[in-house]
Amino acid sequence: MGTEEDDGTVYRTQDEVSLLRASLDGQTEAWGEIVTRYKDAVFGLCLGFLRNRADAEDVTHDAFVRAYLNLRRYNLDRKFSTWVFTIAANLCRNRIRYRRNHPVMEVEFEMEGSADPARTVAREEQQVRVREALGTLPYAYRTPLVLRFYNDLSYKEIGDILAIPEGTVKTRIHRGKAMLKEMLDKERGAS
Amino acid sequence: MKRGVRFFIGVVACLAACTVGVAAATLDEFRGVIASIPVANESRIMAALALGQRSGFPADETYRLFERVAGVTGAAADKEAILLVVVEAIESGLPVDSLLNKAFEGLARGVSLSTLGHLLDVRLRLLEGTSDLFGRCRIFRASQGAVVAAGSTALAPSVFDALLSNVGDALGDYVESGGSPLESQRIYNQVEARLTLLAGTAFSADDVELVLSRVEPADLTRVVLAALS
Amino acid sequence: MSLDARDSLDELLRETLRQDATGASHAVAQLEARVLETLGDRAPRRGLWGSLKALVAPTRAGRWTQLAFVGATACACLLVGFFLGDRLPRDRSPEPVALTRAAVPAVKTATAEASDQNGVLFILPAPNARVVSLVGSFSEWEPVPLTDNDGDGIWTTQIPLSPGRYEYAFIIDGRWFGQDPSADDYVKSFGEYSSVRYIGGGGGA
Repeated sequence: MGTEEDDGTVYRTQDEVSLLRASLDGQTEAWGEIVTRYKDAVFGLCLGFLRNRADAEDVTHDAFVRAYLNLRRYNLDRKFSTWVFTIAANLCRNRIRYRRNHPVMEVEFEMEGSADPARTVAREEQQVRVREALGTLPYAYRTPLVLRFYNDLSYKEIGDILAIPEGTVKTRIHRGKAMLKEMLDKERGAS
Repeated sequence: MKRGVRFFIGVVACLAACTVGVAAATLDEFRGVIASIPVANESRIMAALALGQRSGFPADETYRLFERVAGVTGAAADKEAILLVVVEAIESGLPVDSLLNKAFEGLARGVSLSTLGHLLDVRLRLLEGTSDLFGRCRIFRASQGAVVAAGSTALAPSVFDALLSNVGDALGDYVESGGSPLESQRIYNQVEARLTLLAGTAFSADDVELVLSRVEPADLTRVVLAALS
Repeated sequence: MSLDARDSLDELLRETLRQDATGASHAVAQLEARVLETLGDRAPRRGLWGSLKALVAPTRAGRWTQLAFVGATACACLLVGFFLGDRLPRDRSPEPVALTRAAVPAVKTATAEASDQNGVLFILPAPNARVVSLVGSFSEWEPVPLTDNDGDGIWTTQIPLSPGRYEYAFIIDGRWFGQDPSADDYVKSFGEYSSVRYIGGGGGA
C-alpha cells in the first residue's frame, strides 16, 4: 500500500476505489478523505430530512461511523453514494421516530445570510416560505423531494435508498410539490 | 277520514313488508347459493352471515362472491374453503373488503380454487395479526359506550377498518410479491407508502401518523412470519 | 415572481435546500476529525468474507491445491446442473403486448388532462386489438369494455371512481395485460402484474 506517511495529500488525489480498499485495510485516514468528499451531500440530506441542525450533525457523524464499520458489506460494484445515503436515510428515520417520543423545543432554523448580491430580497422571502412549507410537509413526502432537489438523484436511486418502488417515488414527488405549491399559493393569497 | 287512515296504514304496512322482505330474501338467497355448492357447514355460514348483517358488512358484494364461487368449476370442498375464509373474518369482526377483492381477482384470473383458498387464508391470518398488533399498540375500534383507557386511542369503526384493511392488504401484496419477511424496513416502507397515499380518503393524515408512529418494522415482520407459519 | 411555472418551483426548492445546507455547513467543518476520533483504531468488522479469507491456505502450493479441489467440485456441480436443468419444466407465461414507445408519453399526459367529472380515464394503445376490456377492484374484476370509436388504435373508457386505491388490468383479445404505463404503481398478484391507481387522498389533513 506504499508509504506510512501521515500526509493527507496522499489521499486527496486518490480515486475512490483505492480509498475504499485502503479503508478496508484499516487505514482510517483514507476514510477521512471519503468523509471529506461526501459530507456535504450527506449533511444536506440529513438536514433536509430532519429540519434540525443538531440532529443532522449527529446523524451525519453516525452515518459515516456506521458506513466504515460495515464497509465489508458494501459491494464495490454498487454506487458508493447510494450505499452511504441509504445508511443515512435509515438513521434519519430512526431519529425521527425517536424525536416523536422525545421532542425538542422548536429551534429557529438557522440560516446564514448570503453576501450574494444577485439574490433579491423577494427571492429570499420566497425561500423563507419554502423552508417553512418543507417543514410542515409529511416526512414521507419531504424525503424524496430532498433526494431529488438537493442530491439530484434519479428516481431509481431514490427508490433504492428509500426502499420504495420507482413509481411510488414519482407519485410522492408529484404530490409533495403539489402540496408545497398549495401552501405557498395560499400564503401568497393571504398576505 | 277513516278510509284515508286505513289507506295510509296499508301503505306503511306494505313498505314495512317490502323492507323486511328484502332482508329476509338476502339471507334466503345466501342459503340457496350455498346449498347449490353444496357445503358441509351450512349452519356456521348462515350464523356468520346473520351476524354480519347485524354489524354491517357488504352483504351484496359478499353475495355476488358466493354466487361466483358456486358457479365456477371445481370441487365443493375447495369452494367451501374460500367461503369459510370470509366467514371466519366476519366471526372475528374483521373487515372483509380486501378479502372479497382478492377472491374476485383470483376467480377472474382463473386461478385454481385450492391455490386461491390458500392465498386467502394467508391474507386472513395477516388481517388477524394486524388486528392483534393494533391492539398491542393500543389502537382500538371505538364502540358505543366504550371507555377508553389512558394512552389508548379509539378510532371510528370505518377509520379503524380502513386502516386495518389497507395494512393487511399491503402485507399480503408484499408476501405474494416474494418479499422476504425479514426485511422489516422494506415492509414498513410499503405500508407507509400506501397509507400516506390514501391519507384524506377513508382516514386522515393524523390517523396515518398514529399508526406509523406506534407500529415498528419488527412488528410487521412478526405478523408476516406468524401468518406464514 | 410567480410560482405558476413548474420549473420555478423546482429551482426554488433546489436553491432553498442548497442555501440551508451551505448556511449550516460549519456544523460539519470538523466532521472528519470527529469521525476518526470515534473510530479510534478500529478496523471495519471482519464479517463473513474476512473469516473466509482466513480459510485460504498460507503457502502457494497449498493455495494451488485448494484451487484445484474447488475447480473439480465446480465442474461436478456444473454437470449436475446441466443434467437437472434439462428436466425442469419451463415457464410458459405469455408475453405482454408491447406498447410502441411513441404512444407512452402521449398516454400519460392524456390521462392527467382528461380525467374529469365523467370519471377517471383509462387509456390503452392497442393498434391491432379486436376487443379490449378493463377489470379491476372497482368492478369486482368483471370486464368493463373499452372503445376505439375512431379506429386509431387508442382504446379508452371513463369510470367514476371515489377516492381510494384501485387495482386493475387490461384484457386484450383475451390476454391479461397488467402494466398500464399511466398507473401510479404496480403489484404482483397471483404471479402476474396488476396496475394500481390512487384517486384523491395524499396527505390532506
